[in-house]
Amino acid sequence: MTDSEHSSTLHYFSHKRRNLVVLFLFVLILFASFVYALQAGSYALSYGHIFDIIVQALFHSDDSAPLSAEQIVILGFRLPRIMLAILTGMSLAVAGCVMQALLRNPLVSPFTLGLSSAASFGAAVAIVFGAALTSVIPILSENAVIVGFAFLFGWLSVLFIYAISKMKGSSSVTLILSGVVIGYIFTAGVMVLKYITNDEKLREITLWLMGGMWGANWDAVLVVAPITLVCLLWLESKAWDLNTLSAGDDVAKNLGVDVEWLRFTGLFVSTLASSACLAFTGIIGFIGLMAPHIGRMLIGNDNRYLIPCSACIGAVILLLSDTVARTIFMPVEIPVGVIMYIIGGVFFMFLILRGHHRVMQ
Amino acid sequence: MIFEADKISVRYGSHEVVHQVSLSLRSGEVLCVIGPNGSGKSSLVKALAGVVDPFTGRLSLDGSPLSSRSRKEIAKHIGYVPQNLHYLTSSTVLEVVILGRRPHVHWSLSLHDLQVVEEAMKRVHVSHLADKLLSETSGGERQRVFLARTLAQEPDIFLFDEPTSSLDIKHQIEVFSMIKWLSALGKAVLVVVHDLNFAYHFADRVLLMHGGHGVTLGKADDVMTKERIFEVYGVSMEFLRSGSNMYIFPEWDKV
Repeated sequence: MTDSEHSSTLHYFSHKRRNLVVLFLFVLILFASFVYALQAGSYALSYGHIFDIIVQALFHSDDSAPLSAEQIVILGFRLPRIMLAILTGMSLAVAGCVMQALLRNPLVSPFTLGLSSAASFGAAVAIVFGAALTSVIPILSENAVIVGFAFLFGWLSVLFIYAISKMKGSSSVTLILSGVVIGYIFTAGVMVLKYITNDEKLREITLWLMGGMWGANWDAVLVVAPITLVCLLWLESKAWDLNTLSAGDDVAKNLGVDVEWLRFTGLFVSTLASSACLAFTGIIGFIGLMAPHIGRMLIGNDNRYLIPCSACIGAVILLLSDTVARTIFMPVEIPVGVIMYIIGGVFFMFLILRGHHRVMQ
Repeated sequence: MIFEADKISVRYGSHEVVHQVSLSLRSGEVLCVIGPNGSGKSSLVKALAGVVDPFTGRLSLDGSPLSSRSRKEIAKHIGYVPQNLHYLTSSTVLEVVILGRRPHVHWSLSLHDLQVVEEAMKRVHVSHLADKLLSETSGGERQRVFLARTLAQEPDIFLFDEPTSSLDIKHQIEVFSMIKWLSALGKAVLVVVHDLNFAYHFADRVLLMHGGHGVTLGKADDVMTKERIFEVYGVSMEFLRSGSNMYIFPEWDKV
């Protein structure tokens, strides 16, 4: 072979081109899923009609005119739900991807670390006792209390995992078992809350734990969107540093990375992004595992491309799953969490049987 | 360029593993650090590489303390090849070598960065492995890949922690030839090594460590004496000169 055939520059550019093409394809798939999800549902609407409704809402908004039934369906129900699904899918996928890089463990995700259970417990506490808190501190909105509590407990669970990994190392067994333990503890906490609360709150909590887009409305989207976008941009800005961690802490430090600070802030930010979403959706499992793994199979380990690619994959998976959840037995909905468990289980069985070692090592 | 360590101590918890070791390293020089297991060699190198913070002492580059420079700035001057190379198994060789450019880039690699990576890979003969997973390479290839990663970092000072520990004799010689080549390029090289013959033949100066202390630092002939080696290792060694070569091996009848 000649030197030009071995040229690392050519290899690099061919990888970069392929990564950008894959990324662009997923953006297109996400857009197509978005359009499909807007149209799918028991209230039949044509694409043209939906387009008109959105254009009118964006550019010719007339607050005094009453909304038509079609406008209410698209603007009041489907659009905020779709936006929340996209943001949640992105957050959980990127949180999983970053946590895997930070703890150098491919089986780590918000779900397996127990963060989802902890954040859900925090949100359940806010549902049960939030009214009392907002009456004492009136400037707090109910949503802010839910997000705050979800984050607080999510962060506590991650701190616990972080402490365990410092003491005992970050092997798969240690981290996953710690996540299971955290999951049990917070599940017990939720049981207590369900036991002591009234019927209305009990129903609210139960819907929550199933995991779904029940809480979708524009208020939720306006809370989640800025948190998610700022967190994702910050994590993307740390992609090079996350890459160096793959060579071990010693090499990363020698390459100029403040490893402890990166690990602490990275876990903090990814917890914030995922908790903010989980506060409105309840427990959604497996996206934080599936999306980064699919991303790695397609474009490799470079976090500069893997983070945005995982975000798009996570958004597509959750959006399509939610669309199936609300349309498969129309007009009855099933919780999207159920679909995620089924897809996640099948996906991991496939990984185990196929032994995809670039992913599982 | 001169890299100096002044009375460096390293502690893990309350346990001090390196006690006030001082050394200097100049451009074009190869300094070998020898000593029995547990003598603090690796901890010393980690402190020099910025991997662990010295408990006491001062590191300086051309007279100015390293503490006054940013991490990224230090990383442009000091490269480190650790002893344990079992990470990165799911990365390709090219991905590993590119990591070396981290101190020099913000986001995207420039054409210059890629030329440096390409040159580094060519220099240690790993260009043909670019797309191969690191887990699919042999021990010798892996060592060369990590050397390429450090070359891509373009440091002035190279710190190696037992670079030949898992290699056969051919690859050991290859690694030491590369070390000589680096010093010929004007780079300062510090190597932790167990093989006394390699230390004797390749080092300009030798630091002998024992129990966390720097016992002595100087020319190989001055440091590696029969008495001192026995004192530190507890083993009687034969020093046999043949022409310009020196052979160091245990006195088997006394083992």
